[in-house]
Amino acid sequence: MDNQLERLGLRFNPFEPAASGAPLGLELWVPERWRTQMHELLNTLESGQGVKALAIQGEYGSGKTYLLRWLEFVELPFRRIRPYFFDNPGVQFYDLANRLLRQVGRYEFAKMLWEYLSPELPGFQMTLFEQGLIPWLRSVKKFKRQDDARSVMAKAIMKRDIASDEEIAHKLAQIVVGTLDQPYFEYRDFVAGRRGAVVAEKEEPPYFTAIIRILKKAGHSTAIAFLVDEFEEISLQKRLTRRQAYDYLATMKRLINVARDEDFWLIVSMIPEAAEKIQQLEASLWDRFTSQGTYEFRIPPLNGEEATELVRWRLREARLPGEEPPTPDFPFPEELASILRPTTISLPRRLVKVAFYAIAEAQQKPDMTVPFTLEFLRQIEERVYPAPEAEGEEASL
Amino acid sequence: MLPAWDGSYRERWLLSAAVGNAAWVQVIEVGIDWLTAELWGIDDSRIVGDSVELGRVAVMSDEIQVMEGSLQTASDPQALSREQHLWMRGHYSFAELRELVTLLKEYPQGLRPMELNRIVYELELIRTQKGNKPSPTTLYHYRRALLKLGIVKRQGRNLVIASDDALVAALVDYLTEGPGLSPEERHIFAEVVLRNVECRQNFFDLFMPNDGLYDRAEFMTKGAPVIWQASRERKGRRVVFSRMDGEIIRQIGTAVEIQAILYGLRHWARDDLLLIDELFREDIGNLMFPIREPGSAPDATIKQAILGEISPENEWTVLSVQDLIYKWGVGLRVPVAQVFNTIAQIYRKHPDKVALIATSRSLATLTTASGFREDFELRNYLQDERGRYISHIRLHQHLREDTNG
Repeated sequence: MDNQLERLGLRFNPFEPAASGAPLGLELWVPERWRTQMHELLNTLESGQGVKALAIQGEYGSGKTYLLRWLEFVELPFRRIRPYFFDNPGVQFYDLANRLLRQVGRYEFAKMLWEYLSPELPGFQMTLFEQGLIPWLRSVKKFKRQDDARSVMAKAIMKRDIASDEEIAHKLAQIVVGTLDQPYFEYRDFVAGRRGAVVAEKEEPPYFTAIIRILKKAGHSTAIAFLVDEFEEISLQKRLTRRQAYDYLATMKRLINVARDEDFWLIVSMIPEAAEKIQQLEASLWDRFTSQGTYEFRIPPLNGEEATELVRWRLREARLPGEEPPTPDFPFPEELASILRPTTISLPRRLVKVAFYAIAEAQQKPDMTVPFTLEFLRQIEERVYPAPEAEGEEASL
Repeated sequence: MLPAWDGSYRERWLLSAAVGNAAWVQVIEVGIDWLTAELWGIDDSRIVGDSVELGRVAVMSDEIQVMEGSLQTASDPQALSREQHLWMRGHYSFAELRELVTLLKEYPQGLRPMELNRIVYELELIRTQKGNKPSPTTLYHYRRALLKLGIVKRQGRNLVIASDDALVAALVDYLTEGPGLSPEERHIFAEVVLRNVECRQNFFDLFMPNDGLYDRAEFMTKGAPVIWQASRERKGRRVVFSRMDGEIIRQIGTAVEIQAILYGLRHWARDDLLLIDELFREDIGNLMFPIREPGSAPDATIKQAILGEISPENEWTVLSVQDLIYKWGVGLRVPVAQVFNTIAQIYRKHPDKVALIATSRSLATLTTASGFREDFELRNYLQDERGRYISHIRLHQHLREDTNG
């Protein structure tokens, strides 16, 4: 073990320099104020039927991704809601299907659907000992019964009320039957109209509804949730035309519309500017996200107590076993929240970064005084987040 | 003699001309506004000089005479005269016009247009925004603007400063050197533009409650905001000017109108004369609003207005920068840049209690169709020292007390 870290009462540095998203290997913690507000929102939404849309707003570094990950790993599974995380849903509707199904994986999706439908499917010369999707597919292929397999599977899909459209049922059946030869998805599989495409042409809403039903029914969950992070990063490189921008927003709106009869959650996180742009460009979408402002969550900046609690939580995860630190904040001073600037402690990313560099620098300096001094922490803060120059006020920032 | 013009404003023209003793026929690819202006702007339809550029064709001769009747081939000749009053262009600045006035001041007898051009080239008096020497067409537009604004007048074939005009005489007294206009030069140019009936009718009257005469001070204090929105229609581009309550004031659509009003007068008023400023909001469109003389509204007033937005109930208040410039820029009639500077000052003084909230550049320019438009829309965002575009600011509740203290 690193002697310097041991001197600080730690096994490892529990803060990360990038401070982006959720930390690895640590139990996720959110401030009580966030947790209470989120619980109230989720409880209210959960009590209703149909689609539930929720927008989380916060500036960069305020903990949006972290909160989504907390929902994904902690809160939603607890409510038996199956979450799928997206960092960018794409401009077109089928981009979303592409990202979703690739996330699930073709084999997993096919297996899930096949198992759900298997009571309805004939054997196609299945052997006595080999059971499961792959032996079934091998058997289908061996006896050149792919067309028959697609057909019976499509009928089973319709019978089980996953889809009522024949084309959609056949496309979904194709995903299963084609898995033996191509056990993965390609982007072109989601380009409607192409040979071998697994999506139905101009039937995006019912197609998507069918996918959500499969994920829900075959996954034995009460609902499906899409968590969309960085909603604002619509086009990282290229410029969108006004029409493409509307397409993007329309994708979101249609997603909400198509799933209105399903137990489907759509939770998006965005910066305040994105919320305003949506309101200006597509007010009806914003209404769907927030139910006219009733259900939106604006991540509140951390206060002093919450900032202290965040630091303590991380430190606790990295404490040396069986050793009691002099104070819960050690090696930080107890008045940490009053030493750092309010702007630093209000943002989790800033706070975590400053804490990381403080510990990292202390590791390099064996003669460093612990707990850390006010001067040292302010020096680190100034280095990581320098205050603007006070002079030259007429110039631009 | 000439084939009929099909009515388009950007056409290939067959111009028949006599050069000296030789007959000369040339196809000219040129915007009709430029060609007619060039020909009609000079007495007896002659272009005189030793180097004349017609569209993409440069003709070296002593004299080029347009054969009589050649312009009558236009299918809608009235259209040409209808747009004669749209001579304003935005690709030159008043600082460059000032250079020409300074040059003409040294020649009390005046200069012939081509002599003026020659001296401009020899002394490299003027450079375009891209750093190139101006084309003869651009210089023609400079001369025409000076003539139309009454700063320069014709004396025979020469151009001379209209010193008998009190405003022009004052301008000549105040002439300075340097990259931009001095405040005095800017004020006089603004008065000259505002007294010009074509400039008023085409643009500045849009802001005023009635069509009477007004000077710069009256325009700045009584002018109301105007919204413009552009759209593409089957017949071409259309730009609609409207009031804040939605009442449509004017619609324009021809290439010449758009050149003269949207990119001419608007740019003059916004960038050179500082009579208006402009912001963009997705829900409103492009909002132009008259502004007071820069610096006349103290930063303290803007600062108090911004700090007055802080909620006493919450530890932090998040404010939209676009809302602030919309509310206080338009409300106090101050330039967007001044609101930004005030925010910057507050931030520099209290970095511990002011957080700048950045936006994604791709989101900020979500619906722009060109780089030019992208730059325009990004004007609505405060840029910090790291080059980030700031869409919101977060202010601590103690900031008001600290500032008062």
